[in-house]
Amino acid sequence: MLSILSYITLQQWRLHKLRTALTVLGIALGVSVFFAVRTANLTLLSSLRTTIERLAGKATLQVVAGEAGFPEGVWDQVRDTPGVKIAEPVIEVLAHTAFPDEGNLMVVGVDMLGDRELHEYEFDESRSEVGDPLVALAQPDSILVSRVFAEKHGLKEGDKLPLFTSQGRKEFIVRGVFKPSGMGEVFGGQIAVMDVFNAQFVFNRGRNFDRIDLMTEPDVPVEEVQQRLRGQLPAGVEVTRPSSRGQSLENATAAMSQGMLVTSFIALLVGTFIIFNSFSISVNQRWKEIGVLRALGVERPNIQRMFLGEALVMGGIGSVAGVAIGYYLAVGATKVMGNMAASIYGLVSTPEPPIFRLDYAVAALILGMVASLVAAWLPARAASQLNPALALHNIETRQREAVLGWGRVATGLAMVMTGLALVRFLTPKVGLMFQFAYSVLMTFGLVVLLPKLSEWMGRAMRPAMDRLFGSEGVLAVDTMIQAPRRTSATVGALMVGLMFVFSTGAYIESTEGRVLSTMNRIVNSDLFVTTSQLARSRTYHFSEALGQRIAELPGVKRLENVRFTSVPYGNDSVAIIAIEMDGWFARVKDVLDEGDEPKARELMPKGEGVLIAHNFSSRWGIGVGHRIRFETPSGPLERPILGVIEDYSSEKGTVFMDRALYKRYWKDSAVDFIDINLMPGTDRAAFKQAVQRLTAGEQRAFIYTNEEYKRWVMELINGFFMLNYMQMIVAVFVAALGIINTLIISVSERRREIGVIRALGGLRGQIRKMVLLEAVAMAIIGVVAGAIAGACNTYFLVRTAAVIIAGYSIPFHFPVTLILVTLPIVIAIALAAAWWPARRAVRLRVVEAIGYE
Amino acid sequence: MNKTASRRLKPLAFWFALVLAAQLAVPSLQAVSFSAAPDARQIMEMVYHQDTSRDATWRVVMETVDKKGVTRQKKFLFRKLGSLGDSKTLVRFTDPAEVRGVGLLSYNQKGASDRQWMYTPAIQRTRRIAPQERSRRFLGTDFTHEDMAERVLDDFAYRMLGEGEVVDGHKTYKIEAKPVAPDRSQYKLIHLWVAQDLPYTLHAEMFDQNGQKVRVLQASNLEKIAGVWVAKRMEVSSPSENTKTTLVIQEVRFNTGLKEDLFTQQALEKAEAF
Repeated sequence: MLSILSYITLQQWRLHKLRTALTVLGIALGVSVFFAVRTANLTLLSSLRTTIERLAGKATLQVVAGEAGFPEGVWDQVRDTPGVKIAEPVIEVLAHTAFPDEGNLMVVGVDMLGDRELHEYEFDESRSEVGDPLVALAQPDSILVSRVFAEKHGLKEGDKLPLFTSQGRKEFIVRGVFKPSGMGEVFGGQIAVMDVFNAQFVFNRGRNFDRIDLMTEPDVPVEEVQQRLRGQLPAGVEVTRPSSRGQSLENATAAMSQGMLVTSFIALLVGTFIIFNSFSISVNQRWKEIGVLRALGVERPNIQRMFLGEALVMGGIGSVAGVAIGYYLAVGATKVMGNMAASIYGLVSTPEPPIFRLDYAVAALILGMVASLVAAWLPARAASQLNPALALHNIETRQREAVLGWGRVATGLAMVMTGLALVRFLTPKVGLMFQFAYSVLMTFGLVVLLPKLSEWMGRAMRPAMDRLFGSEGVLAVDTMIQAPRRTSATVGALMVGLMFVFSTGAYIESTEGRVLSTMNRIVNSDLFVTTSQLARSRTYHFSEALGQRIAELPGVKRLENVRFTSVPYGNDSVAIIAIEMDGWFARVKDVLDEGDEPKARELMPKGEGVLIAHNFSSRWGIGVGHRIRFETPSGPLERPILGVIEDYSSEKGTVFMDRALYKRYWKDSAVDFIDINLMPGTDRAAFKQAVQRLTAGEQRAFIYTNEEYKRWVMELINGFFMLNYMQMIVAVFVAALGIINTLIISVSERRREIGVIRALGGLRGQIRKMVLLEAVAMAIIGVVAGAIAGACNTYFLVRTAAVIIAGYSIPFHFPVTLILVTLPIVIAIALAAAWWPARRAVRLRVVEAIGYE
Repeated sequence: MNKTASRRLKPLAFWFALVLAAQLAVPSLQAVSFSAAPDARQIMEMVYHQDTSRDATWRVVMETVDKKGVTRQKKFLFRKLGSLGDSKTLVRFTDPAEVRGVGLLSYNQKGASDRQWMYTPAIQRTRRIAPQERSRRFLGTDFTHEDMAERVLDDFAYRMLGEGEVVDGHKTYKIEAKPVAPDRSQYKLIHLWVAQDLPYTLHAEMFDQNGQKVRVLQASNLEKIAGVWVAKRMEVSSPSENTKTTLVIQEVRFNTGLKEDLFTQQALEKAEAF
C-alpha cells in the first residue's frame, strides 16, 4: 500500500516540479537562517575563546578584575602565594595603527624579563632572540610584531610602526618578528607584543594590569591554588581558569545572541507557512484523486500518512539543503557578529571557519521536518476526513464552510487575547524562550483568524477594486474570496514576514525615539570628542592631558572628561559612567525620574552618592534609598542611590558617579569621551576644526558637534540591528516565494475559467491584469494582517523581550510610517512575484484550457 | 616560587663569576706542580676563593655580535659590595643613549631568596625580575643566566685531565667539571684551562646535554691590580649560533669604600648619580 501511495506522491512531484521546488526552497531558507545564526553564534564564541586561550598560553589560572584592571600590588601577592610557579602580568590593548588602512592591532604587554614558558611567541629566525633585548626593554617605543602583520605592512626589524596611543600618535620601532603560531595566530595575526611596563606607560594604564596569567606547581591541584588566591586577593579581583572566561564572554554577548536566535525563528515560521500553503493547495487539487483512493479502499490513516510522508520527505530534503546553505550563510553571519562583538563589546575574535556541529545540524533538520509535519498536519487531516462521494462532486463548497467556521474565529480570537494578556500581566522573570511562546500564541491565533480576515478584507476591497480596475479587479478579489484556503496561506506567509518587519521596525523606531529624547535632555554639550567610531573602545583611551589641551583653546566654557567602563557587580558586570558631576549638573535640569534632584546636585559632585539607570534598577531590584556596593581594587565602595534616570548606554545597566570618586577607587584616569561646552557665541564648526587641528596626526580622535553626535548614535543603533535587517529581507523573500507558489497554483486551478474568459473575448492583457491584481490584493491584505500581527508582536517586544534582554522599558510605538512605506514595496514585490504566473496564464491555449479537467 | 631555580639561579651578582672568581694570586697555587699530582678540586677552590676584595668597581665595554653579524656595543659601570655568597651588585649602563641610565640591582645572600630589580629611566620604573630559566641568554649576550650567576663550588665534581695547551702565554691545567646532579647546571660538562702559575681560568668550554660544545670562554690580558689578578679582556662565543660577546675592562678599582646605600632601590632609581 505504502509503495503505491509513494508512487502517487512521486507522480505529483513530477507533475508539479515548480511547486515542489518552491515548497522545498521555502523550508530550506527558513532552516538555513536558523542554522546559520546558531552556527555563527557558536563560531563567534569559539573564536573569542580561542583568543583567550592563545593569549593565555599555558596559564592554568588567570587573575582578572573588570576593564579597569587592578593595581600592580596584586602581582606580588600572587607571586608569593604557595603553589604558584609562574605569574606574569598582562596588558591587552586593541590599538589603531596610523597606516592608511587604519587597521587594528592587538598589542599584548608581557613581562619580557619574565618566564617565556607561559606565552608562546616564537621568533621568526629559528630561536633567535630580539636583536637588542636591552634596548627593547629600555625604550618604550619597542614592539615585536607577528609575521603576518609584518608581511602585510612590509615591516622588518628596525622599521617604524605608527600607532595611536593615549599620548597621541607614536612611532614604535619593530625590534623583532614572531611566527604565526600560538599567540601569533590571534586576531588573524594582527598582534604585537611589547614589554608590559612600557605598555602601561604608552597606553596610560597607570600602575594597573589587565590580568595575571599564572602557572601552578604541577604537584599542587589547581583548585587548591585558586582557593588560596581567592582568599587573599582583594574583593573585586577574580581568579578563574582561562576556559571559564568563555562563560563571561557568553554573558557579555548574550543580548546579541538571544536577539539573533529569536529572529531566526521567524524565518523558519515563514518557511512553515510556505509548506502549509503548498499542501493546502495540493490537497485541494487532489480531491478527486483522494476520492478515488478512498473509494478503492484506502483507509483514512493511510491518506493522512501519504500527505504527511510527503511533507516529511520534502521537509527532510529542504532541511538538508537548508543546513548546507546555512553553513555558507554562517560565514557572513560570523563576520557580522564578530564585528559587532568588537565594536559594541570590544571583544577580539580570532577568525575561524564556521564550526559544523552535527547536533546543530540534526536539530535544524529535525526542526525543519517537524515544521513541515506541523504545516501539513491540517491539510493532511482534512484530506483523510474527506467523504469520498462528496469529494468526487462538490468539494470546494464543503471546504469553504469548514475554513470560515465561527468556531475557528472564536478560537483564533481567544488565542490572540490570551497571548496579549500573558504579555501584559505575567511577570517577565521567566526566560525569554518561554516568553517567546506568548508571541507564538498570538501569531497562531491570527493565523487561525486569517481566512475570515482575508474574506472580510476581500469583500471590503471589492467596491474599490471595481471602481479602479473594473471587471479584472472584481474577478481578482472574487478569486481570492472563493479560495480562502489558498489565499490565507499565502497571506499568512506575508503576514508573518511583515509582522517581523513591522515589529522590528517599530522596536527600532521606539528605541531610537527614546534614545534621542534622552540625549536631548542629558547629552547637551556643544561638542564631543570620542576614542572610537564605534560605541566605545574597550582598550584605547585618552589621557587627561588631551582634555587639558582642549580646555586651553579659546571659547571653552567648561569641559568634562568621561570614563565609560564595565566593572564586576554581583555575578555579572555593569557599566559605570564616571563624569565630572558639577559640570554635568550645571547643564542638565529635571533629569531624575526618581529621587531628590537638589539633594543629588549637592551630594553627587562630592562623591557621596550615585545615580542609576532604569534598567539597572529593574535588573537588580534596587532604587532610591538603597545603597550600592562595589568591590574595587582599592577596597569596597558603598554609596546611597540618589536618583534614577533614563539611560540606554548599556543593556547591563549603568551607574553614574563622580569621576573623582571613580579614579580614587579604581585608580584609573583614562578618558573615553570629552564633553565640551562652549561660551555663548562661539562657532561650533570653527571650534571643531580647531580641535581637529590639535589632534590631527597626533591622536586618534573623533570629533562631533551635538547634532552630529546624535546622528552618530542613531547610526550605531542601526548598526546593532544590522543582522535583524538582513533577516527581515530573508523573511520577506521567503514570503514572496509563497506569492509565486500561490499564483502558479491559482492559474493552474483556473485554467478553464481563464479559457472561458478568453473564449468570450477577454484579451491577454486583461488576463494578465487579473492575475497581477490578485497578487496586489493579496499584498494589501498581507500588509494589513502584517500590521495587526506586527502591533501584537511589537507589544510583546517592548513589554517582554526588551526588558529581559536589556532591562529597558521601551514605549509602545505603532509604526504607521513604516507600514505606509512598506505597502508600495510589498505591492511591487507581489507584482514581481506574479509576473511569471501571469505570463503562464496569458500563454494558455484557449482550446486546451476549456477542455482542461 | 621555584626554590631550585632560585637557589641555582643566583642573580646578576657576578657577571663574570665563572672567570672572575679566579682573581687572587694565591702563592700556594704557584707552588703546585705536577710532580705533586695536583688536585683538581683544590685548584678550583683556589680559583673560586681568590677574590677577597670588600668592594669592586669596573668600567666595562661590552661588544656583542649576533648571528647576522651585527655588532652592538654597550658600556656600563659595575659595582660590587661584599664577598662570595653575601654580596650586592649594581650595574649601570652608560652607553649608548638608548640604554643610558638603565640599572640592574642584585642582592645575593646565602640561605635567602635572591632578589633582582631593573630600573628603566625612560618610563621611570623599577621592576622586580623573576628568577630566570638558567639556559636563557641574558639580554642578548652570550652569557646565560647561569653563566652570570655565582657558581657554587660543590655543584660540580672536578677531575684533572692533565696538562692543557698554553693559553695567553700561560701553561695550564685542563680540568673537567661535571655537575653532581642534572638540576645543578644546564651543562652536561665543562672543560676548564686553569693557569698553572696563578688561580685563573683562562679558557673554558661548555657542553650541552647532547655533548655539543655550546659555549667557549677566553680570558686574556691578565693584569694584577691591587693584588688581584684581572683579565682585561674576556670573550664568550656560541659556536653553534655564530655569536660572540666581548668584555673589555677599561678600569677596575678595589676596596674604594663603597657604601651600602649605593645598593638600594632608591639609588637604583637615581639614574644620574653614577
